[in-house]
Amino acid sequence: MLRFGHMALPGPLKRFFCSIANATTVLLNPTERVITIKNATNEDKKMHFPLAWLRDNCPCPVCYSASSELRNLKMMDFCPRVNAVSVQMSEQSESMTVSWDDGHSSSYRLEWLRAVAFGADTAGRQRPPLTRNRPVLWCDASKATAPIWQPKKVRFEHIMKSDAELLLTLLELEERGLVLIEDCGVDSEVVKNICKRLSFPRTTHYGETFEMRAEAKPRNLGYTSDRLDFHTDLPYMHEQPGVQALLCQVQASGPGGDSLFADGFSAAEHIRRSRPDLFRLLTTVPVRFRDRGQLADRRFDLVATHATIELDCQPDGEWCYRRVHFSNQQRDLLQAWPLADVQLIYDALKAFNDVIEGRDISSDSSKVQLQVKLRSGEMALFDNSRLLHSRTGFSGERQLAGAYLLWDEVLSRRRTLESQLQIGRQD
Amino acid sequence: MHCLHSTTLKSAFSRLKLLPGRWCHRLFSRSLSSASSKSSAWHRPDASAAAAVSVDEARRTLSVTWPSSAQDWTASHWEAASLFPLAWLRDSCQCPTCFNPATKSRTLHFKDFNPRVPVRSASVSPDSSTLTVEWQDGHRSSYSRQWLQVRSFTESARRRRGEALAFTARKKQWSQELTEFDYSELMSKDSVLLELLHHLDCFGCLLVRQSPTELGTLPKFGQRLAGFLAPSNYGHSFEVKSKSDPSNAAYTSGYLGLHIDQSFYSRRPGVQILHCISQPTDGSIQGGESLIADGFQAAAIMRRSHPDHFQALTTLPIDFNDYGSDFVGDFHFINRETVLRLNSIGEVDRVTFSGHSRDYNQNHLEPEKVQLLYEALKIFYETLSKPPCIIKHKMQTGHMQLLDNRRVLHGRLAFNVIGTAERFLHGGYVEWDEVYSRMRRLEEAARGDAREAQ
Repeated sequence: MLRFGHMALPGPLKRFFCSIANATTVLLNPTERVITIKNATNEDKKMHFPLAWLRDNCPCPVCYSASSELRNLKMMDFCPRVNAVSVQMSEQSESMTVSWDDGHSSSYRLEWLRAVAFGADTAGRQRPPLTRNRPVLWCDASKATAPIWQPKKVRFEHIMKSDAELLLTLLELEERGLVLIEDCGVDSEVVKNICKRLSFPRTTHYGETFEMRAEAKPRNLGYTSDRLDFHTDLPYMHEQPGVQALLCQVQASGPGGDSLFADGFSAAEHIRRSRPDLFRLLTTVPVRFRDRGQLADRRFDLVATHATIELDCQPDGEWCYRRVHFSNQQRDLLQAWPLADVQLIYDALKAFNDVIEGRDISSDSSKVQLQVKLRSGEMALFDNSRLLHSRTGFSGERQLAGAYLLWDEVLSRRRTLESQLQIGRQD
Repeated sequence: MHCLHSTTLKSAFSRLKLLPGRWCHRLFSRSLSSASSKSSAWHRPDASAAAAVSVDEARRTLSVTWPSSAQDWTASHWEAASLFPLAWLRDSCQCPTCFNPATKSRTLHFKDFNPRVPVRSASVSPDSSTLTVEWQDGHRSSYSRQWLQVRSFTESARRRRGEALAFTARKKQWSQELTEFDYSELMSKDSVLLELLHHLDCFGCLLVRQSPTELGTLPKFGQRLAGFLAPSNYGHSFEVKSKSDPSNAAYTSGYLGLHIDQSFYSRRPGVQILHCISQPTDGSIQGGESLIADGFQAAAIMRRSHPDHFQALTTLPIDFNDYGSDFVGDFHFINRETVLRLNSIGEVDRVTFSGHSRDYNQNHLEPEKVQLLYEALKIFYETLSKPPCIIKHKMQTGHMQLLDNRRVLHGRLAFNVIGTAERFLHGGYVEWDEVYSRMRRLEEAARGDAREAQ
């Protein structure tokens, strides 16, 4: 498995690369400022290396620090117009050496060059699974009757002790956005422990962890026993923590208190196909969210503005869903919307809500919601930037404890687990 | 006393049955003229003329024309005619069923909300103080004139509100000297704290002097600024001094190039605070000057002088990574982002840059673009490294340096420690969301009332 730096490939792969390295030729094109390596037996498999990039990534100890796996070469010492005086392949075609006009000389192992080559098929390439696994929608809007997906259940003890189990859980979280963890116990410390297994709980103005229960003087609807609207948490932050852990400590003894989760990406996809005009509004109109209040002696007033559906757009026109921001309660009264657009903006928000609520059911496939009554000691780990959540009304006592994590750190944990368990290619 | 309603006085006299009607009138006129000679300074809006309401169901709007006599001189703005979308009026009903004034949040459930609910009737009270709308679904909403005036959807009202809603200051170019604040004044006076936060938002960097040199100073200061220090993958805070086994370039004594902290995070800390616990000025620490550079200013310069390279920095994404082991255990971060990020109106709102964290992998870019990108990186770096973008200064014991990590890059010249001297900086972060929240509440408290912070 290839790694950063210049380490060896495992056995079977190494044999494969060596066998085709024999008839390799290397060409320097000073005008285009590119070095091209090609194989005599396979003309189509050309590998290109821009000169500036080669100089920037020289692996020698002066230019690269193997101990910290970081570039040493300083931008102020780097000349992007440096020229290659000569380039040659070693006898066994295992390495390529470039001599530069600044007096420097760089040697690159061919197996490393193969992994990072610029080719016809690499332009625009994303790096999943290294960066982020692509989300898989809960339901396929194009299919007539697609069964709603069911969440994976894991045992708390297993993911705390087994790296493999934890890795599978995180992969599922990345793809589907929700995992249920059973037998956690009801101590709120459990929430911190799960977070520490991944990185650490992200403090917000609600604290390191938070508790939800019906209160006599509720600070918002969450602290009542009412049915809630579907929402994402913390939309009033510029970049809200993307992962939430929610533990059911006490479940209502009577009816109700069910947790509801909805796939925002599936809902977005449904709207895009059925009402593209409203989808356009949902992806472009900025909505201002606000959370104002007081906790103990601290007063707070957080405000942020987001489009309801955020897309990740590439320069070449390719795009995918990135985040959903939706909270009726925290949508601010004051909005910067032009008068003529307001009615349609509300129509769009309502239409989105109808799809999530399952009211806009043209067929079963548009049902993007699932309902689960968490038992005491059961935890939901979910993608707060993709799923919307709510709960049914209840009577009696019910208490949840929760905390947030950053996707940056959860993905980092997934990568290091893969690396430790030697699963998957690293680029 | 012409502030009092003429009919009120008249009817008051009549009710007392002291005098018949026409006598009331004469008495009233006399009392008016005698009162005006005493002339009171206080005025109240006189809304004797009625306001006019009209509903346009086709456009789904409602308009109110206010009498000029009802003009509220205490308000900073006044408009003769206000305009509202009907959907927004229903959504923004202020009654206890629909709205919680303590949390200023909507309690009306979205599933019960019909964005097309028609109006059954709409009227303004005789004194023009209240608009009442009765909806077809049976609900009834009341809105005060002041409330409506502030939230009107006319172009002029929206423009004013847009400026107020923007809240964050327009970024300003800094001078070559760092502005300094005093630590004890900051900790004790809210007005000074607010001034510091505004300055940080506007200019992106500043210095605090005379802070205590105990290790616990930084968390206390972070709490004062923004409620809590925001932890990162390096811990709740980090220490910068030479380490024998460096897991990060900053821990050596070598030159550290200009960079944005945590470029390998997509959600990264907003404000960096560096507390200088020890950097003696007796010559025992050679070098170690801090470099700080204004990324927004460098971007603005490049936009004019090298537009193609500027465009490369805003369109060609780069992978930034960090790999190692620290507070969170093993970590491996990757973030793909353009060096300069543009907001929806084409302004640069974030810089991402780090020489040492820039990943070698770039084959998502076409080879022809790579040359342009490298030239752009070099030009950007050179622009950052000279005036007017750069400030070089040496932190002294007791200094705290604050930087906007969205805008300002920082670095450090190599240093040599002579003898047993110690160079010790303690660093941490706070989040902009929390800083802005603190600013809003401080401004509100300074205004001395509970008028909504816009």
